Amino acid sequence: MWSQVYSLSHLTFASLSHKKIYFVGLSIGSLLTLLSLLLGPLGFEEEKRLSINFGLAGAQVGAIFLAVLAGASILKEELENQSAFIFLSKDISRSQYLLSTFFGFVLSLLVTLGILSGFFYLTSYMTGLEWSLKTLIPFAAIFVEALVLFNFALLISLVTSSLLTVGLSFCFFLVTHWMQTFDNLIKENPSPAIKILGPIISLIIPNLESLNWKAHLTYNEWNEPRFYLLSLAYGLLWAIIYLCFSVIVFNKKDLT
Amino acid sequence: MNPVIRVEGVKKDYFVGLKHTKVEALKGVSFEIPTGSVTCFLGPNGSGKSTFIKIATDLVRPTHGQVYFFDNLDYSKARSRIGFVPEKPTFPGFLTPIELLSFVGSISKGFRRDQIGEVLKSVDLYYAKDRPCGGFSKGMNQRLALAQALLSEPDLLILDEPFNGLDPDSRANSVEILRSYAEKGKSIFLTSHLLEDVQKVCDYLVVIKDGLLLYKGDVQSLLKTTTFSIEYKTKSNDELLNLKVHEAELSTTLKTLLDQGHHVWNVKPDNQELTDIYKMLLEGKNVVPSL
Repeated sequence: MWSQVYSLSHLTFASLSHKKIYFVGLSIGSLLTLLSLLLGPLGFEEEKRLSINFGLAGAQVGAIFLAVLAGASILKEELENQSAFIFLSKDISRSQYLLSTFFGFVLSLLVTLGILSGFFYLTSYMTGLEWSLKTLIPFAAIFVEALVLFNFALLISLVTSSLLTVGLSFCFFLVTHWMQTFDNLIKENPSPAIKILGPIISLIIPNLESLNWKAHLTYNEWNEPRFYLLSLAYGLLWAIIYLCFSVIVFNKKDLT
Repeated sequence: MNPVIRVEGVKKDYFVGLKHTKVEALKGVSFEIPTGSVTCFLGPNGSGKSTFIKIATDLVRPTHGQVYFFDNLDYSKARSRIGFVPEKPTFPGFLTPIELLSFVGSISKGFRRDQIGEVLKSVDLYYAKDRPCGGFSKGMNQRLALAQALLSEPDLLILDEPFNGLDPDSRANSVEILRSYAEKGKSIFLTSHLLEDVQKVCDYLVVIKDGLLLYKGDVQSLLKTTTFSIEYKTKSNDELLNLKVHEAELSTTLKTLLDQGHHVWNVKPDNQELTDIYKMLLEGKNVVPSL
């Protein structure tokens, strides 16, 4: 089973890296990361912090952009051009096919974040950040966050158009970063509708703000390792949940 | 011998639009395809051919019924013995045919690397083996799709419109490839609108219309059925008109024409072409000896 998944995920990786969206995501991330060099001096005494924060945000935007666009289009295109029909007629099940798509994206994301972290290293070196392994910790969060978004977009793309998937996924991204505010709203708001719907929304939408660690590097204030491990596990769990739902829907779907 | 494909009461309903309107694409189709035959699945646009092919290859789930292959296996268990070419195949444009076939082989059972060259030669694509397939013409894509289906020498080939978009030379080449593959004792199940090619390569026929089975049987017995052309002139018009009727309907048609006062000019047996018989089948005329 795994040899087929391995082969197909390599093909997905190669296909993704030949797509325009890959270069668009990479270019946006790289440009924003490099732009932090120009924006840094605007922060006067906070130049270093502003550069770090903006550089990490640039890498995050690039990864999120890639995750959403890839998730919305990859399976849809393969079904439309019927290449998926050919691969599915071989010794590979639909679940394996979807897993291969996921692992192919994981490879692409690793390469993208590798390149973006290289740019980040370059800019942060120029602004005087001391490089250590800790510098990479926020990139782990960006990686997991992108996985959650990719799997969410993949799931939505199975039931609606690519355009709607992109729109919904970006909305989803924003909402996941407002979940803390939303939880506070539930506590403060006396409306019965909010009291009933609030916990349901909290249950089905992850709080990805828990993976926002840019400030930790910017201010060099770190939490216990346990916090990072649990937050990563939380994000991965949500990625797996969306992937499982995608597999269920894909297995039941008529591929027309 | 077990049939290569056994279809049992396959129904497929789609629900379309905001009102969730039910569309019956297949209305309970049952038939069997003999092993070793080259079968053509015919029907007008919208008759349910593509839906059936997708059900057979497990891309679409039937509402009711089942398709079995070989020894009563469902598709998931039989897939390693089946090669499939979809209607409009497209491949990742950056891959060369050799890379594509190596990849397809890596996810197929019973693949040998030395088969790639042979298969590419058999579909006349060996000369382009190192060219990225993004620049291939429709015909080359179609042949590459056939190559990937032939790769592990499957016992059954399922081809959706394999002659579509091909020029006459490529069509003749494809017909030849299919013929020689069938001569090895392999079974082929294909859909096509190009009845000239179908007549050259197929020995078994399944015809559906509006989701219902119209005919199943061998092509030769269908071609043996006799039709007649009746030339006649109406009372009011001096123009010579032509009417095609099946042998079984000849006497009643002649009687009707004469009773209506028309002048029957000539009655002659036709040379049978699949195109004519297919047309009569779709018009609901009785050309079928038995169903």
